[in-house]
Amino acid sequence: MAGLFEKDLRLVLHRKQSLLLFVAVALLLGVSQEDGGSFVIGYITMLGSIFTISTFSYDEFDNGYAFLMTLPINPKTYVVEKYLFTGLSALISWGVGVVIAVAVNVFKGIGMDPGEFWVTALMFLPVCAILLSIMIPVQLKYGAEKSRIALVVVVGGALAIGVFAKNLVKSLGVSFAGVENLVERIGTWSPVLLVAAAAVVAAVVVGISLLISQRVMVTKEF
Amino acid sequence: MVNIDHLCKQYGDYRLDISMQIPSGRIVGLVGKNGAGKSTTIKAILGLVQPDQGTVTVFEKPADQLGKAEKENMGVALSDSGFSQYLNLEDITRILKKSYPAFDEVWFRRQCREQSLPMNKELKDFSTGMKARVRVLTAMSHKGSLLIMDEPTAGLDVEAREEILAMLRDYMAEDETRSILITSHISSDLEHLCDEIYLIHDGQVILHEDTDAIIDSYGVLKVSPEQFAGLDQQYLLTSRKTGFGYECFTNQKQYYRENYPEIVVERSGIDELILMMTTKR
Repeated sequence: MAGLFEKDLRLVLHRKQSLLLFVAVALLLGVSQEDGGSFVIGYITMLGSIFTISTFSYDEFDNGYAFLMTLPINPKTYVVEKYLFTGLSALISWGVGVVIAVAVNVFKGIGMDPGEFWVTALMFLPVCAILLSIMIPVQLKYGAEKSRIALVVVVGGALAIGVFAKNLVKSLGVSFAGVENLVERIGTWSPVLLVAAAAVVAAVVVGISLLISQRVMVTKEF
Repeated sequence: MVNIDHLCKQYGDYRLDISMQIPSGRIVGLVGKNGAGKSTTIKAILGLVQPDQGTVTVFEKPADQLGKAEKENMGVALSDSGFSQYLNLEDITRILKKSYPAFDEVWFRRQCREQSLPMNKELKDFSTGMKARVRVLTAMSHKGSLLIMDEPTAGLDVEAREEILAMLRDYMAEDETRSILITSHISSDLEHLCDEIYLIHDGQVILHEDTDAIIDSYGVLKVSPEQFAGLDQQYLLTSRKTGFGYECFTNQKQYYRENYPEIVVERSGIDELILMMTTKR
């Protein structure tokens, strides 16, 4: 797995100019925005994560999977490495975002509430983890080209099912009181509990996503 | 080292059904026309495709269950797949170092230098021949007991091909228990390198023979229709009609030389073997 990690790291570092450009744009956005820099954290965390997703395309390009699977790894360890690599990249990107946000706040002399800042900043991590958990299995299953269409279908389909289910439940006269109560109760949670709950949900989603991705790779022929 | 027992794989109307062995200490050539089933066979050995029926074992383990230890003991060069074109040899050296405990970095760097392969240039800017050499060097760099070489000399000029073949011979000479499975479209490469040849056609092994036997005993008889009519046909493997008469393929050319001194008996190489055994069956 160390070899795969080295490969992905080197593929990403070959595009370090793009990475520096992202940081420069993030700095500009941070200076121009008036939200205390939290937008920058979300922006750079997502961009950094999506950037590392490009390593899937490099692997897939020119039938590269066939050779990679002859290295001393198996499809399951390949998937685990991808999750670790994208996860670590997301974490580093988030860290860079936090540093930029703090620097911008200090530079602009904005007095920030540390509690509020960290809750906002930390919430980007589970959100990013859930988004990556959807993107990675789709990327592995359908490849770089088809995965864009597949993602639209998955997200669109999920929304359509949600709307349909809501209308169906409404037409059947089922009360939403339980759900409304739950939302109301979540609203009263402390920020720390909210972040912790989001982290637990994200961990469950990542776990399920990992198992799906491993299944995809194990059944794939190269 | 490798045992394939009735490997069956169906792709639409095409069906592969072969059995073969790669014993320890042997260089085995796999020949056949495009689409004969060579690549599928190699992929099955590497566990990249699942057989519909039959078994493929490598180092006495099912190919689809090869672990880290078995894969570390194999070197693979595929004709249509390799490291990303956006990596350079410096990157590949670091990746191999972290992938294979037995990776010989000093040897790899020396070979790259001697073969004028630039360390800091991306593979996409390499010529076809340079890419082929990188694939072969990569496969040999960790001193595995089994090399799987799919068209390792494709795109190389005569001199470069000879260098690669010499490297493969040296590789075998270093350790006589090693084995190589090799496919190539350049039959002279196989004639000078392989101990035995498997000929695959339409998904089946139609001939398995020692290379020396092919060179020594197989031959092409060129006969007129009258000569063909009077010919003892029990040692003819196949024959086809030509403009002047018949071309017959035999595995007993000495018999015909001795008993029919008037007919033309030509030496057979692997090209003739493929041509004669696959054009009319």
